[in-house]
Amino acid sequence: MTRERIVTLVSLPSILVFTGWTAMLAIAAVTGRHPIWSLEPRNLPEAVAFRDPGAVVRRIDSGEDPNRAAEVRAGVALDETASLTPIEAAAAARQGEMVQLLLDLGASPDATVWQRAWCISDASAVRDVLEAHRPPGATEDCAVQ
Amino acid sequence: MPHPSPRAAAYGLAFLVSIAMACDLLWMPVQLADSVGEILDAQRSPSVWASFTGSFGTEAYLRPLRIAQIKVLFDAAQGQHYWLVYRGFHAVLLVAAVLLFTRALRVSTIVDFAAAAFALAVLTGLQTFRGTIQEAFPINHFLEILFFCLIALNLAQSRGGIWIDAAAALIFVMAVLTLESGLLVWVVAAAAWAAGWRGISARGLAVMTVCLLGYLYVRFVYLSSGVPTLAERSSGYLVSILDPPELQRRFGEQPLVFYGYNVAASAMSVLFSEPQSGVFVTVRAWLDDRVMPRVVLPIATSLVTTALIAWAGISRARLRASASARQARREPFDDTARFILIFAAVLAANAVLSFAYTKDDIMSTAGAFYALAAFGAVREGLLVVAEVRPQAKGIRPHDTGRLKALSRPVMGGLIPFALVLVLLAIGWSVRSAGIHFVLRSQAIKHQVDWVEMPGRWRRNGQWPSDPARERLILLLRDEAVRVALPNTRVDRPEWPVRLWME
Repeated sequence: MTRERIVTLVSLPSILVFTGWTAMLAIAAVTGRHPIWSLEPRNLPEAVAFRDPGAVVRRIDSGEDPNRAAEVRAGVALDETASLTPIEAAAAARQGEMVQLLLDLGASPDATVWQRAWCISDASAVRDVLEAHRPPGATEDCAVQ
Repeated sequence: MPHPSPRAAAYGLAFLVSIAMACDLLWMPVQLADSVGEILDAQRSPSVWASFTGSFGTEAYLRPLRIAQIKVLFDAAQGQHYWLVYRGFHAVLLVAAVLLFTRALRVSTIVDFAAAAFALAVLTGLQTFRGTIQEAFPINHFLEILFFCLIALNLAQSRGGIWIDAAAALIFVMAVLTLESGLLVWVVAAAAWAAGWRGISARGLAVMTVCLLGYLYVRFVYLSSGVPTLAERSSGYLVSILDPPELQRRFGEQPLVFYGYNVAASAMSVLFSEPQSGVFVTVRAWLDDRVMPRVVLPIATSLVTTALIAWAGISRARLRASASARQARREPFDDTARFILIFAAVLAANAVLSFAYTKDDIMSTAGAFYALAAFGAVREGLLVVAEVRPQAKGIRPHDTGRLKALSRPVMGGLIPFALVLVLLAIGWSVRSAGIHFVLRSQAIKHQVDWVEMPGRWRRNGQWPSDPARERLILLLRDEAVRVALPNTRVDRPEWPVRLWME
């Protein structure tokens, strides 16, 4: 092994990593998408299912309806593609904090949505929040669905 | 096209990595936990001086400059640019620290450059470095202490003079009034002087020592500030985190056992990357049957690097021992020996300062000096392996020849040793890249905290009634939430979680 080769091999990993790191940030800045973590929610329920509360707040602030259902891709919250309201998506992702956040941000599930959310998830974190915000007429009977 | 000098190339590489980290820091909201309270206190304080004097007399700490700095930056934000000021300060400090680190290496040859590239990966890859970037309350004071220590080292390497001595005393006072770890500035200056870097003269060191005694008097006699107690915070112990009541139950009668564990664990965390914040994560992962690369890589790279530093140190000691006493007195230590000696002193002092509880953040200064020692050791290794004519500062041709003779039986062949160096460089670079993952994860955590905060505070009755405080909180929240961040929370892809620890 020559002197130059050894010296190059020892310094190369750092040079590659530091350059790659900077390039990754530059790509993210230019394209708005990170090369590694590039999952982008297509709508509010997907943002909820991705556990991205920042995106949830930004979407609601920009005028999206916190009660409106939208298509959530297969594998995001459920195994199959489904039309879910944000509250239902939060329940499907077993995210009690997200259910609470949506309620804080003005979501008001009717009895049908509440019941679907209740039955989608048996997570106690989700059900505790839902229990505290039960609309009139909502039941816990999942067989009625 | 002319090639850049090794020194310029080293600075270029340091600039590249520090800019990458700075951009990652700027792409992160101001922290909420343990930070918003400090910012609200700064808002309430009428002046920087009031912040400074108001923090005297607290029970276990004497950190007036820490509070004053938060107030200075708060005022600099002029009521609207809090993210820019606090995160910007963090980013600038980080870049300055990395450049000071690089300056201290005194790169002059191509071998120095390769060792510097390695050292930068060690600096940024060691888990203790995360303490300087991961959190900020809202200033990262561990990074400030590291910055002050690196200034002290650079001053010690200088030609000296009265202004150097004055600057050394000033940064010592600033450091020690910021955090207790600021005492390490004195340790760096003293160790550098003992090792032969005497830019900070005996006179300068004497002034720093007087300041040190003054600090100890003010803290322990005049203000009667105590030391942290077991009841103050949780701490890692063996394979779990113990909360204050449990610490009190186990060690209330014999705190020295716990303090001894903390000192040993802190030193080991730098040398072997285990335990981390007092917890043996590898053992825990093994017990839980979850041994992943993120657990194996740190301990493997640290073990080999520490062995390399030990080899370089022992080789140096044997060289001196083999020289006549007269010759040894006449010839100063070379840079490698100095880096290793100063690292040993800083490691010991830093570990002792961590006696009350173990936290990787506290050991961040020792971690940076470990990277300096690694620089010296890898440079020695490269000189031996590559059979390079020694040109690095302080290395004499006859020394390298003797060093080779001494080291051959230890290494059992130069080609395998070269391969070890290359694999080690790859390992540390992978660890270093984990900083990006850590910062991206941390960024979204901070954002989640801010998003959930108003609802939580209102439900808990913590929401401020004062309109000025409410306005400030909403402004900080708006700054934190409006920036889009990559979502690392869904573990897609999975490989970063397997490779790096958050």
